[in-house]
Amino acid sequence: MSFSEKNILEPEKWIDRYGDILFNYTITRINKREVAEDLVQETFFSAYKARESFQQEASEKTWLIAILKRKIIDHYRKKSTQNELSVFDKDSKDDFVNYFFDKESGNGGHWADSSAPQEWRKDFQTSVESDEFNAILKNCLGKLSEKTSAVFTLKNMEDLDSDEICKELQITASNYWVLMHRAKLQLRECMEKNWFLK
Amino acid sequence: MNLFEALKMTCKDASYLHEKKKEGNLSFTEMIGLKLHLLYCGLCRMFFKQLDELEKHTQRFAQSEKTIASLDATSKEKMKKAFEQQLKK
Repeated sequence: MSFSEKNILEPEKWIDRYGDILFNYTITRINKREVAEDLVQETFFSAYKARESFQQEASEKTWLIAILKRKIIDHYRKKSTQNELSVFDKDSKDDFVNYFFDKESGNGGHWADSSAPQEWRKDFQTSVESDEFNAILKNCLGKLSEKTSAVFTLKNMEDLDSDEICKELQITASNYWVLMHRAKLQLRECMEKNWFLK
Repeated sequence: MNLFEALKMTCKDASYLHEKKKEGNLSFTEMIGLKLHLLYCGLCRMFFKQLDELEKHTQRFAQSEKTIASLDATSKEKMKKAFEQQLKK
């Protein structure tokens, strides 16, 4: 081998070197093993086809992850355009959100007694980097519905802004805010049950 | 949202606006309304703090390179076989 090692593509070593890294990255964002495996495999195939476009300044790993990121966005976009997201429009009742707020006249839109926020246990900060916390968080993220997890994941884990997400998922800005809000309510509810209030 | 609506903001409205605020999408009246609401609503103050906390931990989780799961051996072998075919082409 010649020149500087990290700037050369060595496809025959990709799966051993990066298979688990890419899989781990994907499974954090899409909580389904089969889907994650497929995306990782597709990433290697696409990367190999596009090997001519590899910029020598980037490392192999960074380059592969960039391709994988695009695959993850595409996965959520496909889900979204298969009508799973677009059925959710501005006028549909957001029952999940309403469940948290009082519908009684007089107090409408304020916290319902049964679901009002409660203080989290004092010591929750000390253990949030533990494996146990990560496992619970992952599990709770996996429970989000497709619609909400698309929005939440692309924003908080893939770092897209709301305009990009609306464009990718073909949803309106108001859908976006409702879905994002709902994602957080669902996630918070699950995390409280399993962690913050325990 | 007009000024009157902003002044009688509910917790539900406030929680949407808290979300929108993160990308600087609030109008002037919305901003005033939200600020006022938070002055007298302790529940929302606590709630928003918790949401932000959750968001922070999710981002940290996404960025951590700690292994939470690996490919199982059979899938890896299958993947290698398929990829080797591709390399031969």
